[in-house]
This record gives sequence, structure tokens and C-alpha cells, in this order.
Amino acid sequence: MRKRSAAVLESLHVHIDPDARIGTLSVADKQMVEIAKAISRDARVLIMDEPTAVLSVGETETLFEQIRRLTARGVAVIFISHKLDEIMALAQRVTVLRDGQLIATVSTEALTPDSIAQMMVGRELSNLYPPKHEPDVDAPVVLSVRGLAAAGISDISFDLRKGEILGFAGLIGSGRTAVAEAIVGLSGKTAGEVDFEGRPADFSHVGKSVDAGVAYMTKDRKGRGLLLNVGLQPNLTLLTLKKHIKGIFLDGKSEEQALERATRRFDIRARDASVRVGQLSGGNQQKLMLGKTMESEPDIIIMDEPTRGIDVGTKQQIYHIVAALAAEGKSIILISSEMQEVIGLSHRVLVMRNGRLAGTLEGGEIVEAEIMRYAAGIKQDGDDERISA
Amino acid sequence: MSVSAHEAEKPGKRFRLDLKTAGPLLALILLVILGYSLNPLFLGEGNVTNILTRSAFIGIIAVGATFVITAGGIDLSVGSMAAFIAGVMIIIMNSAIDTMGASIWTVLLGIGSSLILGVGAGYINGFLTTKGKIEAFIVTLGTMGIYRSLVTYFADGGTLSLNNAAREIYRPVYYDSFLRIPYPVWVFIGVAIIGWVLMNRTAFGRYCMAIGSNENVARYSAIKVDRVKTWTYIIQGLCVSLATIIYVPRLGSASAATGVLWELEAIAAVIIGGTMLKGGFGRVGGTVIGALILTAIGNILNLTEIISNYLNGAVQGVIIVAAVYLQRGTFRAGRKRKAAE
Repeated sequence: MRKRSAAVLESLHVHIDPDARIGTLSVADKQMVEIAKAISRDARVLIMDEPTAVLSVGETETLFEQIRRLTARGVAVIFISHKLDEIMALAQRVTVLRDGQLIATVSTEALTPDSIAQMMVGRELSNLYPPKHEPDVDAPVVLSVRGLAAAGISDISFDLRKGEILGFAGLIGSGRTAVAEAIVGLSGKTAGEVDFEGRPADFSHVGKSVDAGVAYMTKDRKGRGLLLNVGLQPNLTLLTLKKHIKGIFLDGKSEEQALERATRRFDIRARDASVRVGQLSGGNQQKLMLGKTMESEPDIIIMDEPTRGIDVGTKQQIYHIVAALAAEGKSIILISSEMQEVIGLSHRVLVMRNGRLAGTLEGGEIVEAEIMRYAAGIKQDGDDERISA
Repeated sequence: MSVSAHEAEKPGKRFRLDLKTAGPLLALILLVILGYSLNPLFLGEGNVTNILTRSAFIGIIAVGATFVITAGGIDLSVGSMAAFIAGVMIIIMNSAIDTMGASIWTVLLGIGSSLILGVGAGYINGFLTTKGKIEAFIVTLGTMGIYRSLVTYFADGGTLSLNNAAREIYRPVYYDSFLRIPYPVWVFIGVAIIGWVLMNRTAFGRYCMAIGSNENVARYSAIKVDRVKTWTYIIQGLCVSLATIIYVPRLGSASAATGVLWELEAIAAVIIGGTMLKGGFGRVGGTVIGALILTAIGNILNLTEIISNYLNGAVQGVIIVAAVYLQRGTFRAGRKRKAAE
């Protein structure tokens, strides 16, 4: 069995020890094991639901090779994905579903990513990303991180200005989440200082950063963000329950009003308020989590993969919300593995590699090739100076 | 009992009979009808009072256990803890009589020390599980053994008996009534109401639910997980202490056999009441009903000849398994129905 596992993993070009415990693997490796499991069963029909959501570009390519090999052998594959370029690259026919309804099944040659998106949203999807405001270079620095180190990251220094959207790019596992969690006090930091609004901040417990106005929205909405087996209201107010206390008792009415406001503001669609959150679509869960985070009325919002595994329409909504928050004067750190998203939204982009900051990009430099160069280690901050010297 | 009425209101509000909430109440009603048809004495005033008083011990402890279990923990030490507290109470009161004579203050001293011991014992369980990062099952298995053997040691293998003079003063706490309802039942009602409010109407109850449901989500939602969990064990200890305070005047003694298997009866009451053993969903009202169901079963077997009273444990066992099976069944059916819509 060990040999067979090794062989299947080998055929996928993944280097995972068959004896390793699943818990010790990275999310991407877990996904590859899951895929290897499906392939090892010699299935004739294979249904893959968002298999690439957590895979890097290289891993996705490996997966595609496997899928093409399988289809060549006569295996039928249903490939469910939000990533339109993947669909275009892989599928012969495309079926679009929207709100539980079959919209159309069309052969891929007749489609463009735009036309698929249009079918998915049901309206013209003209501007996925809102127009970028010119960043205000004179805006005060609201968050200043100096020499931050924690498990897996070291020597992280950067400033965040008021009203700025600061992108954090990098490969999966490059330490972006660790930086965010160390800043807000979810994990212990081993070195470095965090200054908030010009004063040293004591964010030793996440409650303190929330109270100060710094909120972190996790990328793991099912494991860390939301309670899947309860309704919308307890989820929305869990972070800020203190606001809904009258005397010593919870004020149900005030919680209800909060939910009403949030569903309107973030367009959360649920059949009724008693629906368990686990039954909502990924997009609605994500919007609920955004609502939960915004309940704390933060001045700085750290969003970790805010559009992972959600449909284009919701993505567009979230992008516009992010831009609107920045325009209101909120500062946003946007951690994302979707290059287009980082490029489309950020005023400035920091690229991480192996737990360190590899480079900073501004204005016209924010392009995919440049980000990849830093993320893959082809280029390092300081290279330019050396060349010019 | 007024608590169960509150609980029953909820599904009505949503115009949907929620079997999960109403199930335990329905079972209790069926049991009462069964008991009455087998022997009309079952609903005699004396017998009803008897059932209520007897269910008070397990019921009070089980209300505390509801918090521990809802927050994802378990406390196996409650039975031994009760015996230990009873033993120490008796020792303290007896030695107080030697120095200052028997008075109401002797009894109050005993009650005070019981409360301190309960809170302390609960804190130890909570501290070891949260700061010590040892699983609750292991911690409370350990403290269960420790308390049980300590009370055996104090009693020198025999029985610790309360001084007769003190017993006379303390006796009414168990045997007397107010408005024809015995004091233990009043304590039970009080604990149940406070427990229900704490669970359903305060941030603390919500935090217990969140922690038991998914500890990571609770932590990321800025909840002080360790502190809340420790408090659930302190509440449990306090409930054990209250149960012991009304138990000691009943027999006026404590021995190695005091409170044996109370932990399992308390957990059974919690589970029958609809609280999930894996945490995240707690029903104080259900727990109260669960405790009443357990006592009523024993009582019915006592009053009838159909099943031997020796099979009490077997009947209770069947009820526990059936209750959990039914709850899960309705749970699944509910989900399927929702998915189909």
C-alpha cells in the first residue's frame, strides 16, 4: 500500500512522504493528496470541486497534466471552478449555474472568459475592479511594523498609510498570514514592534487589537472564521458581543438590528435568518465574515484571501466594498494569492518570499511579471541599486 | 419547571415544532402518563414532591455540567467531588462544635466551606485543562480518583457522621418546605433559572456555545477561551457544592459510597435534555427535564412490578441511547428537508 501511495504521488509529481501525517502537510499538499486519492481509485467519472483553490500556479499545471492524461484514457471529468482561465484551458464544454439554475451549456470554443462571467452574473460585468484612487502620499502612517519576527517569519518592516490598500503578494506558504496573525496578537511574536497611530501598540491578545481598531479577517472562513452550525446572527456579533449587552443581559433586538444593517450593507443573501451558516454559499459566507469583521468598526482591516472560492459576482462586490472602505479613510492590508486581485486593487504591493519581504512595488511597477520575479526569488529588493552601482 | 415553559415558547414563536427542543419535554409527558396509568399513586402529591426532591441533586449538578459540556469539556469528578465536599463539611462542622458549640453559625460555616471547596475544586479542573493543556477527560478522571480516595481516607474507610446537635439545626434544609415545596426543590428551581438565563441571555453563554462549536473560531473572534472554559468548571464546582449542601442534612453522613456514579447520571441528564456531548449546543431547560426523566424512571419501577427495580440502570441506559438516536435522527431529517427546499 505504501508503494502504491508513493507511485500515485510520484505520478502527480508531488514530493510527499507517504508516511507523513496529513495534519503536518501544507494546505496545497493536502489538496494534492486528496486528488491522488481520487485518481488512485481508477474512477471513470471524476468530479472535482474547486481543486485548485489552494494550489500554486506550478501545482495547478501538474494537476492539469494529470487531468489531461485521465481524459485521454477515457475518464470523464467534471471540473467545478471559479477560475475562468482554468475553465478555458481545460474544458471542452462549459455549463454555467447561477442561483441553483442551469443557465447554459456551451462548447468552450464559442466562449470567452468575459462571456462566461456575464452568464454567471446575469448582467454585463464591465468593471470587475473599481477605479483606483491616487494614493495620498501625505496621508499619515497609521500602522508601522518594525523588525517583526515570529514562527516562520523574520525581519518584517513596513508602513501602512491612512486610506491605503496595501497588497501582500507571494506564494502560498510564504508567511503572509503569519505576519497578519503576529500583528494582531493571534500568535506570539518573537521580536519587533508594532506602532499604531504613532504609539507603540500592545496587541498581546487579539481582543486588544480589535478594541484599538485593527481587525483581521481570516482566510479560513470554515475553520476559523464562522461557526457553521449556528445561524447568521450569533456569527455576526460574536466578535463584538460586548456592544450588544444591556446591563448584564444580551440585547437581542440590538443584535437583530445589526444583522439587518449588515445584510443590507454587504448584500448577504439567506433564505431566512435561522439558516445555518454552513448552508450558505461561499460568497454569502464571505460577506457575512466581512460583516462580522466590520462590526468592530476597525480603522485598519487585514483581509486574508477575501475572495477565495467565491463567484465572480460576489468578488466584484467585495472589490467595490474594499475600494469604498479605503476611500472612506480606512486602511487595508490585502493578502491574496490571486495576482489579478492584488494588482487590480492595491496602491502598493509587498511581495513575500520564505517568511521575508522580498520587494515593494508601487504604481506602474505593479504588474504580474514583476510580482512573480520577487515571489520566486529571481529578484530581491536592493538588486536595482546594485545594478545601477 | 418554569424554565421548561420558557424553552417550549421558542419553537412556537417560529411556528415550527422543533423536535429537538420539544423532544425531551414530550418524553417526560409520555413517561408521566405511563407512570400514572401503571399506578395512580405516581401522581400523588407525596410522590411528586419525592421525585422533585430526589432529582434536585443530580439536576443541580447537571445544570453545571451543561455549561462544561456546551463549552466542549467534560467533568467526571463531580460525584467524588460531592463526597469529598460532604466529608470535609462534616469534619469542619464537627470540630467547630467542639470549640464553639452547636449553633446556626456552625451550619453556616459548613455551607461556606462547601462553597469555597466547590469553587476551588472547579478552578483546579479548569486550570489544569486550559493552562495545563491536558484533556478534560484525563484531568477530571484524575481528580475523580483523588477526591474519592481522600474521602475514604478521612472516613478511615468507614463513615463520617455529623454531630447530632448540628444535624438537628441543619435538618430542615432538606426536610422542610416553603409553600409546600421542599427547600431542595427551591434550590433546584433557582439554579435552573439562573443557569437558563446565563446560557441563553448572556455573553458568557454565547461564548460557551462558540467555544464548544469551534474553539478556533472562538479564538479568532477575540474570545478569551481559557478564561471562559475555566469559568464553566467553576460553575460546575459551585453546583456540586450547592447539591452537597442540600444532600448532607438528608443522611447527615458521608462515606466512600457517597455520590458514586453521580457524574454519569449528570451527564446522562444533560444528554437526554438535548445538549450535544461534543459541545456547541447547550440546553439548560432540557437538562432539567433530563434529570426529572431519570428520577421518574426509577420511581415508576419502584411503584410497579412489571420490571424489576434492579433493572433501573438498564432502562435508563436504553432511554439515554434512544434519546440521542432520536435527536440525531431529527437533526438529519431537518437538514435533508432544508437541502431539498
